Amino acid sequence: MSEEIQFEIENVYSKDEKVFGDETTFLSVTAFMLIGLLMIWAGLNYLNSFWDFMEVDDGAYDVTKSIISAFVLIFSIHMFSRNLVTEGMVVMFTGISSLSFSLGALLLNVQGYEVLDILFSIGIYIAAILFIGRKNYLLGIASLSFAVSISFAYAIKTDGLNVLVGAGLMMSGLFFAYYSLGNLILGETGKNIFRVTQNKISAIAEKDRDRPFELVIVAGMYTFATLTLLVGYEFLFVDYTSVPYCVAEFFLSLAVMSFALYALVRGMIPEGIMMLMFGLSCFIFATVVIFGYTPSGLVDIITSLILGITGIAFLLRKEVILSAISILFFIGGISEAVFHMYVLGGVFIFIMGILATYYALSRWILIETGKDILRVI
Amino acid sequence: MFLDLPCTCCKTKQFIIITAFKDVPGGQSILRYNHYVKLNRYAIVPTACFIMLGSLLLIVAMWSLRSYIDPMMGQDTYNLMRTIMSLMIILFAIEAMRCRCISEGMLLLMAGLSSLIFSISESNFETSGFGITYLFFSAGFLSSGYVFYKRKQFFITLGTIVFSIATLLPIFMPDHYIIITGTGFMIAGLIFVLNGCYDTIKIGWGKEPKRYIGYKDLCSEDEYAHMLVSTAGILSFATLSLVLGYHVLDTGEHNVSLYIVKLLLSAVVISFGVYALSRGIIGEGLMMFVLAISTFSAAILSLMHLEYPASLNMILSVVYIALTMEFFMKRDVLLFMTCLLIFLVFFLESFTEQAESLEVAITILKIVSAYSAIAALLFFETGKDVLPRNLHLSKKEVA
Repeated sequence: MSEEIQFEIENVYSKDEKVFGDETTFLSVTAFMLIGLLMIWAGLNYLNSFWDFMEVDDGAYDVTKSIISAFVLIFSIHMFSRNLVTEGMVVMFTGISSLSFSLGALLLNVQGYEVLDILFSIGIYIAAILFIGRKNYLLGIASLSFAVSISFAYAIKTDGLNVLVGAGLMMSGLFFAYYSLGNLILGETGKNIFRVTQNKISAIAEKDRDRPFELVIVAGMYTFATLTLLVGYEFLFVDYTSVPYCVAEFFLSLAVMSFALYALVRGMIPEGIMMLMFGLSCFIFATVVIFGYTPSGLVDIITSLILGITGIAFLLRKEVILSAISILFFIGGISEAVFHMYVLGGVFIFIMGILATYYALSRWILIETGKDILRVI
Repeated sequence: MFLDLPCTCCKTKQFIIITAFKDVPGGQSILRYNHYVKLNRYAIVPTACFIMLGSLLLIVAMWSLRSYIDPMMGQDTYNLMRTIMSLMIILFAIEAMRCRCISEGMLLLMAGLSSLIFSISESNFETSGFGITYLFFSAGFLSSGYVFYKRKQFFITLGTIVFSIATLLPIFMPDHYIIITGTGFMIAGLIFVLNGCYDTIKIGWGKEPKRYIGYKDLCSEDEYAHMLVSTAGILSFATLSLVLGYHVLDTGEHNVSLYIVKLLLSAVVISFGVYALSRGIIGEGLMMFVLAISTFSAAILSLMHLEYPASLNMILSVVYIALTMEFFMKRDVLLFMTCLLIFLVFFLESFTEQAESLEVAITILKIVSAYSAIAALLFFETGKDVLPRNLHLSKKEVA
């Protein structure tokens, strides 16, 4: 190979790396294409249940949805590994929600748990606002329409619910697909035919970034907060041994445990132990109920005691909010498991969830925008 | 602040958000985690690992003492909880071994595995666990306890000894099974949980748990792989062989609990075999891998009430001819004898029923191998060599 050709090849590759074919574009194309596909598929099915314009077997629909959701979840892990926290959270929430709906229907013949979607929608709203803040309007609108369709639709509860959800999912799916295809063509050819904005994550100077911390404290803590809110809500308002709830809790606690193990491996010990023990307790509870057995309060007692210890560890570091989160679970868990005061336990766990949401949100906004709007102590 | 920068090539607008580096009083950034443990991932071992092990023991203790106190759970719930906790502990054992904590890893692995055997036996096949397995596992517990003692970690040593006694005694005193297991596991569980919590609080305080440096911490990645295989790997392999030998010596009948033990132990040995092969330790890796594959298949087929094809073992015996030659040339007496005997068993069992009696010889050899593995562990962890010179497993790793 002549030196001239070699130079041209190197030049092309270096140009591609710098301008089009970066990791962010690659992930935008693959992960958002999968999300788009998932939403179009789900949207079509919702609309079909109202108008009946195509023949799709329920089992086939759920199997297809489960497979795509599993791939979506895999891509969320890959996104987190590249520190795309906001994008990863949208992808992960979509994957967990979709998988809990489809696998619940497929294996246990139960409806999906709508409260989980409403809780996820809060995170997706925030992500949508942050995307718009980056002036990435297409991604923002896609996320926004997704969040609207999974939150308002359930809240309204009209006869035309399926049309509303289906149309919302369809629209957001088309937006995600358009965005990813636009990035595909831009990444491959350098021509911005679809007029899409290349997704750029917040550009805090690389030396100032602490990637494991961002992942644990934003994505991990927010997922932990969602699980906490879900548990608290169930204790307060609903039957906490319902199978749809436990399917949702199962997947969410699995995600929390994964973040916990990551935190432990990276040397964030008290945070990791707090998340691991709470996730494990919820995971065992959900599995026991799914198998049709009676859940035990013993794990809750052990978890509460250990979270009491992590509360002390956080207090020694003068991290008041994290300490309050741990100690609230200690009190809530003991009052629920030992004294059977479920409402009181639910109140404490719900407050714990609100605090954890606030903590994760404050760090998330700070990392994305550089504005320390929500102060933490 | 936001900067609008047109792309140099495609002229699309690129929006780059530049955030100020936030500082808090004291010069620490709130965008940074200021409490990373200096010991890095090693800190998992004294904290999360022991908390998990202690939690499992407490759950088992509560169930064992159900005649005296309310365990707050039914049989099925207990089995499921125990299975999940055991799987988590095996996961942490792998992490501990990755952190070069062989003793802690062995303790976790053996405890998790024995607990998993019991819970799977009870929940899926409604049989009690294979009690004699505990006898073999407790050798691993006690050797880990000795290492903790030599490191002057007296609190964990106490926990490990109590755990070992509570595991061993019921085999000889089956009438007092409930009270011994329950009380012993309760004490050991509390010790482990308290130890984990104490170290977590220390980390919160800004002080870190001690790291005990031994030979294993000072060697290269390849040398450590040799150490891991020749200690935890060989001990698991020996335990599997001992279980097989016990089966032949005892009854040789169809025993569901035994097949579960074989299944899980061979899965562990396969993992060590694959690890050894991937690290270039071909001879030991292949020896473990092939025997474990044979045992694994036999266990699955037995659980499905299907007959194991003896011809498969005859084919596999070819591998052991090569391995016998290799260990003979390496002058590794123990492994040479082991491979020769395995070859004879595998080859002859297609022709005669009596070939299984050779298992007895393998069992005796495996007792020596297990002793060698434990001795190697003590040497790598404490520097104390308790093994006769010509019985070292592999010249390479001890050198």
